[in-house]
Amino acid sequence: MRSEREQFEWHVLRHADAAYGLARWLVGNDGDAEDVAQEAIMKAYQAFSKFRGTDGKAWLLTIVRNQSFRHLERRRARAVEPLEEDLLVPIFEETPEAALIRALDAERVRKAVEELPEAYREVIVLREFEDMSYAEIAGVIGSPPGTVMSRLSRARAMLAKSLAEVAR
Amino acid sequence: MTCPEVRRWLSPYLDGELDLATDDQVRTHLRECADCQAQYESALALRGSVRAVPSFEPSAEFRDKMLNRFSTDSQAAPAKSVNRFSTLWGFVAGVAVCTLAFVLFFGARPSLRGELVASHMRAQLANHMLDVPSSDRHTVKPWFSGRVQTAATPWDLKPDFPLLGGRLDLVDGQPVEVFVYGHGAHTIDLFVLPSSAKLGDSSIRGFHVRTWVQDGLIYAAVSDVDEPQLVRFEELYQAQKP
Repeated sequence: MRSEREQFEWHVLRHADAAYGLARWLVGNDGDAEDVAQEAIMKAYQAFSKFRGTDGKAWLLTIVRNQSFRHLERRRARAVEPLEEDLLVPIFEETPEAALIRALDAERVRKAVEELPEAYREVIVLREFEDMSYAEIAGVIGSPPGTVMSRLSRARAMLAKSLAEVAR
Repeated sequence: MTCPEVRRWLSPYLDGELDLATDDQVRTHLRECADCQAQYESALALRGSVRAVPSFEPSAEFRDKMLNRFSTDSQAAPAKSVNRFSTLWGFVAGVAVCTLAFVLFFGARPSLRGELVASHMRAQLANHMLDVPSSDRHTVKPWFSGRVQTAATPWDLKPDFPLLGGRLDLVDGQPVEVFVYGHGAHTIDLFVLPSSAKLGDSSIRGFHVRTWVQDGLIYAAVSDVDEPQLVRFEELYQAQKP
């Protein structure tokens, strides 16, 4: 029978890099991201007795997300606005050539993701960098899977639009 | 399904998140409509470009801090390098996988698909995934000649499934060629088996095995990526032409 600490390591702590990654995408700089990730991991440690699930990463990232938004709100002195959409939108208006898209510079693509509003950025990060399913993302952001679906679709449309100028 | 409808479903289709019926309708339409297929490929390329952005890594100080505060090892001297961090996780992961492997495969007679999953897990554990690390099929393919009876082509399916290299493995007592692909943080092992091999699609404890027949050979893709991704992988591999 593993100790509490070993369980925490296995279920939660081993996702510390992912915690940092999500915090970094949301708060925008290295120093704050490390502070936020550390606070989140501490909170996770304190609350670990309440963890009953099998997905420690999703559980930890939910805490990281909340901690990140709290940090952003403190910095901006106003709430980060949630967005509600119910629509699936097509990703592209016209069809750019796949080859042109693949040739895009990674830094330029990173910048495009960073420029997305948080509500769209976070679903892209959880989907494309953390490989989470819609159900898992829904759990982390606290919205229904349908919202995840339409928000991702719109996030990709926004990325496509912003990168289309560069690709041309 | 009309073109505008298909284009609105492209995003969840890309993620393998549609219900079977809608997924089927989109897939059928894409087979018959060159314009929508082009949109799909552009969407795939966009996703690939996003995924290709290197991830943010925390500092060594951050990792040390996390290890020291929470590790069961925290009585020891503070870690000096990042390597200790990844070794710890490797060990923790390794212990769990070993236990799993023992439980799964020592209780019953090993099946062929069980062998493939065990091979995949062993390779991950021992960090010995590759005998020939190369993303160039002109390097990987000839390496196998003389070592195996089959002669498949290790197509590079970047950006979604980049070729990492190949390795020789033993399955059912025979040497087989394995092409190793990456997908985000996961790997996919593609085993090439002679046509006499018998197995089907299945899952064992989170590892999926997806098989198909192509040009008289049986291909078996083993990975912990989710099922829809393995379907995409199969589609992309089959679409390759010399």
